[in-house]
Amino acid sequence: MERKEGKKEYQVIDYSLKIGSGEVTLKWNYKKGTHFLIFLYSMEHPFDLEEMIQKLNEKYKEDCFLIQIEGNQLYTAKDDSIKVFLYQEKEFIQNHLSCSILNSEIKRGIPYGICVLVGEYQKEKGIFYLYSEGNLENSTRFLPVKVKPEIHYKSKVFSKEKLCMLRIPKLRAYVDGALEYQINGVEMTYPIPVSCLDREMLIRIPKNSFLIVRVAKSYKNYYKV
Amino acid sequence: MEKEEQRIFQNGKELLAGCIEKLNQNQNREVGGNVALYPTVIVMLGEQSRGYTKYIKDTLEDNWNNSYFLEYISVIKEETGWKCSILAEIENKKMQWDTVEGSPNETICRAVVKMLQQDERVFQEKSSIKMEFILDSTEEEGQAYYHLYLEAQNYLQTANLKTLFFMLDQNPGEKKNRKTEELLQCIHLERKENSGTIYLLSNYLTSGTILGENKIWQNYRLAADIILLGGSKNSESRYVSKLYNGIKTAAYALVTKPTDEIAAVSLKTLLREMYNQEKQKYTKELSEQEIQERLGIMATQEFYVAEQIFQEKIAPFLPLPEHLLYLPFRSERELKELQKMEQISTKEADICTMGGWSAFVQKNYLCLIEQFWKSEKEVQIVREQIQNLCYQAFSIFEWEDIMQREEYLRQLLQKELCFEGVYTKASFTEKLHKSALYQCKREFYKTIKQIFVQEFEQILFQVKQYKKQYLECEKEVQQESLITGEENLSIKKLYTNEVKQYIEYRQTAHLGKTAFLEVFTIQQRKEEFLSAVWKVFLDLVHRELFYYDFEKELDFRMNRMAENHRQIYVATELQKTLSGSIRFRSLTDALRKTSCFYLIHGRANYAKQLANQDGNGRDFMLFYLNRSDCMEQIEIYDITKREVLDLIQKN
Repeated sequence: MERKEGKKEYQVIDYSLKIGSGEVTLKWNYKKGTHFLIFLYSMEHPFDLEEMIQKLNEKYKEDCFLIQIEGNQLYTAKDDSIKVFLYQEKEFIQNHLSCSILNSEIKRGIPYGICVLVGEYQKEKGIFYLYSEGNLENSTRFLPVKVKPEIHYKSKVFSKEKLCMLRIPKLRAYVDGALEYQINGVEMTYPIPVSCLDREMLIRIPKNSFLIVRVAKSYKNYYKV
Repeated sequence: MEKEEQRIFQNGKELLAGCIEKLNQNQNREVGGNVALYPTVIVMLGEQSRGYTKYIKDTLEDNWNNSYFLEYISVIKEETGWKCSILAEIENKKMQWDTVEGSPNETICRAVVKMLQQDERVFQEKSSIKMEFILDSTEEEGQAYYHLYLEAQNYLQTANLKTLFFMLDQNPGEKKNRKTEELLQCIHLERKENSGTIYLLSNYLTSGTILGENKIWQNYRLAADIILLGGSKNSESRYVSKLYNGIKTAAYALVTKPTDEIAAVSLKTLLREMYNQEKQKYTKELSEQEIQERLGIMATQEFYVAEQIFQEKIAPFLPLPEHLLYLPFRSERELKELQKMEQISTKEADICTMGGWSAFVQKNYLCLIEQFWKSEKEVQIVREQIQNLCYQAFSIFEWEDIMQREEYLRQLLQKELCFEGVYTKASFTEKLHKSALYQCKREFYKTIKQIFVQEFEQILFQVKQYKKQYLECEKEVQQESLITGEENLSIKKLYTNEVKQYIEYRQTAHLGKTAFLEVFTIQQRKEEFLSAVWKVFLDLVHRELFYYDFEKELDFRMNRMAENHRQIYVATELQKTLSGSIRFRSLTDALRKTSCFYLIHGRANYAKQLANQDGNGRDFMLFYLNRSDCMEQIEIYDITKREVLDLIQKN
């Protein structure tokens, strides 16, 4: 397998994903290509395409074997942190320009990224070419973890303040500050460290205010409140 | 003046050349009464002579008020014919050669017509036209040029006064000499009655001296002088006639105010004394306290400049103490305990807030510092501010002293920032805020101190380079100047003293500070440094001494010798230079002296002495120059015998 860059006609177009019951449906358009590779990876580990291509080349010594596998699952890491699926163009078209990933492939409580890249197998050369643009932004969509914070308030008589009790459930591989809270009327955000998860946080806030939990900018692909 | 100040020089040699030019400009070019009597066209034959047009033009412009109306033509032989150009003024008195159509004769005629069209008052005598030709003997087509000269005429007047100045190259080489001799024979054989006058001006003098590239301009000046003598309105005809007809040569003595040496001595002394005097001011060692004060280092090891940047760029974006009221707590009881603590450690705060405090500090305090230092633009601004501080805090000489104490400087920069402490009665949010602020500043200072170290190293390097550059400039100036002979010792004495007085005067005016700040600026490139020295030189030469004319300067330098002694001195110098200076060296010595001319400023005392001498008007003629920085003497010799033109021994 060889990677090629900068070929616009081999990029996915209008890629979207939809979470349904039991599966995640991926849809996209394309201009050219014979195959599609789908990389389902856990956001706990950084996704390195070059490394993945190397692993695939180690597993499939000849590209002709790669395209002849039974089923769609091309590769699964030992810790399940990354899975690679291969779809033929024919299959994709038959499926009305979509394909699905079963929920059983996705672990709960972990944010995932799903990257779709177009490939072309050139029989004469016996080489499978995988096409990508520089930063994979247009080829990747995310499955953030849904977070349900518990927020309660307790007023105090004759006090200008009230107590807010906030609880965030435990999240796997959570990074300090991925979630933060804000109080309306206060221009400051308060990062929630991992040590606060699954514990009740007591926060004094002005009587007429309320507290909201949001995802920090750089983690918007990881969590959804 | 402004334009003058803005000159750019690449090295000491160019600077010295600029200084010499400036001193020459200082000489008064008075507008005297001399004018060209006839319309005069000067024709430069060939490429070689064309390069020296300036020396002829400048001399004529200095002395003839109507020189603006003279015409200069260049004629160059090409494969297809003759290429003619005329000298035209473009902007700012710059000149350039513009090619014109037509044959040489046609071009000459057009030039003549142009002059004849001028107002009556421009040229008093229009019945004759003077045509002055200059030809260098190294031109390949020498004979062709000579024939062109012979055939040259204008069709308007019958009276054409033609002169050919033939610049001989008698550098050793039989082949060269043979070629020149052939050309001379041609000149002799093909001469006719109306061929005009031919002057042979060689680079090989009778004394044996050969005029090199740096002195050959004298022959062009000599040619211009002969044009002046023969073409001026005030010239007496009985002497003018001695300048013309036949083949001639000349002996030439030029005694000038030694502007070159004056410039060299002044510049060298200026460079040396500026450095020494400034260095003397900074001989005492800087105390540690003074170094710290000048760098703006406070008792808490904060830097004033760093604090300014911090307050401007970081502090406005930090949380306020009241924001810390909304940190998360484990329990109300713990919160109350925290509020009562006199001093709150990070560990205690984190226990209470379940790690919320550290996360908050990281995001809202320390992240700001990280973001700030990631910005290249901000880093550059900080760097420039530190550079300016360093340049202003110490002079070059003080940096030389600090260079010896690099280790101390490093230790100074490695000292920990002090925590200024918190008032025990302050609220717990205040205490937390101060503690976070301290952490923030520590992070900030880690990087800014690295920048300080880098800038110090850069400056120390620049100081070394500056000193090297200074010495290099002095050496370049030294190499360009020649100090020989007794006279130059008097120049050295006088001008060294004058420069020292000037420097003393500047230093008195700048008590306690650098008197030559523009010169002693560390970060200057070589061109900037040379420009700064140039500006100081311009200021120096405003002093009266640098405006003295030839006699006054000589008089002042020789400690006011008695007038008759000075005149004897001048006469002796002229004679010494004149002797052996005939511009033609042949195998025979059959030259006949026909006349002698003195070219000198009318108000010079020596001129008055000559005017009163018996021989005036008989043995010699006086011509009054407009410039006051030189005296010239010319003797004209006739070449009547053909054998004189033999340059090679015939066996």
